[in-house]
Amino acid sequence: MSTRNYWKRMSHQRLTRRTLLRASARAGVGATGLALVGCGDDDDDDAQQTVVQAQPQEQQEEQPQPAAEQPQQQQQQQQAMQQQQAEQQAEQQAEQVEQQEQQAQQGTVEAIERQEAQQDVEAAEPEIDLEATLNLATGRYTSGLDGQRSGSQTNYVNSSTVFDSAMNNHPETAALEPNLVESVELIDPTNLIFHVAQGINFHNGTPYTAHDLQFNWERVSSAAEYHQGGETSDHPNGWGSARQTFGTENFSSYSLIDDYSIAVETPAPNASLVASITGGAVVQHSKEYVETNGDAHVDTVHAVGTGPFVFEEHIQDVGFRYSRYEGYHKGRDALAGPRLAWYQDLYVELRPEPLAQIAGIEAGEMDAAYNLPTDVVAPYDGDPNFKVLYGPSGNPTHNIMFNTHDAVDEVDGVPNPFLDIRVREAANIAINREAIIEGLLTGVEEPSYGVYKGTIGFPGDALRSRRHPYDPERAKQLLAEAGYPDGIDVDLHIVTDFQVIVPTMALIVQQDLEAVGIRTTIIEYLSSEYFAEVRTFSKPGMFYFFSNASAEPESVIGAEISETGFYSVSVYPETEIHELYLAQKQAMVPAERADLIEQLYTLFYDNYSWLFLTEISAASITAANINWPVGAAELRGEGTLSKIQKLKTA
Amino acid sequence: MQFISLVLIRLIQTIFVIWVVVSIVFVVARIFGNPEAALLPPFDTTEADYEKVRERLGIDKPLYTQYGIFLSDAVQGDLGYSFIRAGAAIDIVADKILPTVKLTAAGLVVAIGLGIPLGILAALTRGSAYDWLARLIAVFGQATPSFWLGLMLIFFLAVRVDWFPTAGAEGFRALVLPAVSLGLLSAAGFMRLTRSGMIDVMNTDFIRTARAKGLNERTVIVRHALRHAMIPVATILGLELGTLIAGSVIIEVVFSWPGLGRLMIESILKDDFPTVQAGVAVIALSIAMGNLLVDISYRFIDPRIQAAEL
Repeated sequence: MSTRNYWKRMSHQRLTRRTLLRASARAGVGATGLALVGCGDDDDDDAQQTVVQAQPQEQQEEQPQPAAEQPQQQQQQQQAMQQQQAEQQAEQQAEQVEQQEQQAQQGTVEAIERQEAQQDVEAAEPEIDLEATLNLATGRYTSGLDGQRSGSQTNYVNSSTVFDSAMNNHPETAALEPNLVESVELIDPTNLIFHVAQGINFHNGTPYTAHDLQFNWERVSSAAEYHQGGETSDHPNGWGSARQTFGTENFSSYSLIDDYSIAVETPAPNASLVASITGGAVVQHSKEYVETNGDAHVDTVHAVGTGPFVFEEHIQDVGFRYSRYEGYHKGRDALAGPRLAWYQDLYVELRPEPLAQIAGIEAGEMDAAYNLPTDVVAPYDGDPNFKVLYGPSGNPTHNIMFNTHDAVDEVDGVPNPFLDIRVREAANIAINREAIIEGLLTGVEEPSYGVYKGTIGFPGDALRSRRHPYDPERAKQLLAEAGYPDGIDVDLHIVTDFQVIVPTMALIVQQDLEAVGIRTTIIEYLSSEYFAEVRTFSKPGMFYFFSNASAEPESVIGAEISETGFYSVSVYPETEIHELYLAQKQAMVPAERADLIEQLYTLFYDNYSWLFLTEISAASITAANINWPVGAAELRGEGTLSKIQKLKTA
Repeated sequence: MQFISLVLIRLIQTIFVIWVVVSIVFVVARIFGNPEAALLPPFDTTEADYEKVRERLGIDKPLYTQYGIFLSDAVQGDLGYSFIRAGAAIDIVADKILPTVKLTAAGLVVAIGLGIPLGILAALTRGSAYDWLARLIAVFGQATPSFWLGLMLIFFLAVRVDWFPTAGAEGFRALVLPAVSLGLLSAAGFMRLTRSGMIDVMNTDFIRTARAKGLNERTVIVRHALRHAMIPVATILGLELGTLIAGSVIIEVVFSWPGLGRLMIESILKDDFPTVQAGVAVIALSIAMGNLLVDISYRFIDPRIQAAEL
């Protein structure tokens, strides 16, 4: 409670008629006292006074008049009784008045309290500045405006401000939610109809239709029928797609039904298809605008989308300017994805150095910065001038994959130890994840369970309850049981320039493993060669790897867990992992698919398929007057830009 | 005539240097680089995607074929198109030259404006507290990493007292901190060289003669001593130009200065070979031309120096 509120409350508790009534009754003044009080002029309002005055007068009239002929004793008795009655009446009266006044005054006090509480809330939570300019610092390199172009794929800011994805993900469950596509009708497992929402306009005023949806699928797949994209682009570098396989390449046929519906047929059931082709990888351009102006224009001059911000200006290597799209189709109370922005203008300034981003906030030039290393913002955690938020990094779970492709090492001819589940278990329980989280990380992370918890079908507590313990003694015992009483020597391949924490994490893992007898030699690579090396599956040992932050799990389970995956270093044909992967891929009913995915995740974890490490966080930092709510499944900060609130400051 | 020949020879040497440097960058980048990995996300991507990108960029061909194409294009002034940005690599680099020239020139002004006067004063007051202080500043300047100095300047002068913006390139105020961060290291070098040069010159016979002729001390210092002391300073000026350009790479990152240095960092990280090659060519050219200008300036500093001696 504020000081001001306290003193106002006290002023309303000063002496009132009720207090005097009670005092007069107790003093035996009776009717006289009542009259006096009734005639008195106190601070209460007139209405209350009228009520209080009327009651004693009526009660006095109803009192029996004393008889003159009655004996004095009787008179005295009667007087005593009358006085007693009067006192009782006065007491009752006082109580009634007290009740009434309490009610009245309670009402008044409560009203005042409510009003003041509201004022306090407003004082504590200042008004949102709907006309504000939000200044956002980013370290992300930006090459162009076109989120579909290869090379522009890192342009998350422009992709999530100017453009929309066809569907969004629920902020908590990651399930698909309508956006530009309002529904997907499942005719049979290989035939779907996409229904586009009506009444949505691009920033240039043209309506968004199924023609645009079809165009964007064709464009990311570089479909040659269109004069832009693929071989015929006017883009000076040629126009290459960032997501070739997120469009018409998946379809056996497709056709427009009407302006707001499009039918798609796939060669086989594909449960992840809808999420893939309606997600952020295929931001929605205006067909008419791209065809009229060309790929080069769209990438370098001006961007037109349906997103919550209108593109205003891009100065290469300096920043972007956007303004709120007042005609945005989703209000501020939208469940998922972008919404009508809480501020008028957005300025995104490119500042490669994280400390310069924070300095900008401290100097009042910037309002927020995001995707920063957690150790950089740690000193500001708890500072009243800042708000520090921790969220999942772009590759939020870190794991180490055992190469299980070959039964024996081609060079040394020794058996592959990781084909024995006891060795894999030993490696998993040799790692003290809690110590890593508390000592190296921020303390808010969880152990890794393979895929990130924000993906569709993540079983949550069911998987967390199966957490692999830290038990180095048991690990040694398992190694001995597996035939390695003296331990094993293996290579640990890591990438050094992908996430800064990897080399440090690898050293800790190396120490923990060595403590139980798994001696590792760390072999370092740059990312430019590492991912290509992983894909060969040719080198024995262990490979440091990551899951990504996509809500649709196919990019992880298809690429890293299935037997045929692009990065599936760890394969276990003797298990049902691959069968479960194939089954979920064909399960077109979301609930059935989620159930199969849950089984897949659990089996993969119980099989000690990887050396599961921990989640990794990234940090955001804002000025104290910025509210930046981020949901658990909203993995990247850029997707939540329109949710940011800038509060008015004194 | 001899002078023109000198300039022509130097220009030919410069072209040769640029060819060697760019060729080394070309080969090294292609041996260790992997641009398709930078262009496509590491996840959600198939080998077919990578192949398409390699084909589009022309890096699917043998190295010698790529080099032949590069050389034939380069002699026509075509250094290729950026892999990442929209446009020709040389145009992208050209857009960034002016901001970097601005920053480097400002850094040079700081270096010369601070280093030479401090060096002269330190020499003239040799052994004094001022001399000691000046040398301390020089040691500090040479020992301080420019990125750390930049961050400290941001913290104290931009955040704490709000005299300058924390980043950016708008207006004169935005130029001050990056220029000081960049120029201080070179200022220390200039200071030490000027001081030692002046001390040497002040002990020579011709200075004693000048004094004996009755010239006032100011004339002796400015017209006679300083002119001779400046020859080694001019020599180091050419080298410092390279230092300043190299230093600008880090300073531009720290201060979000949209120049060539930052472009180079980004291009290297993204394996944008054409832009890196174009940037290296421009930097090599600027350093070579800077040194040529320094050589030419000797004739004006000391007319006794002949072209043959350069």
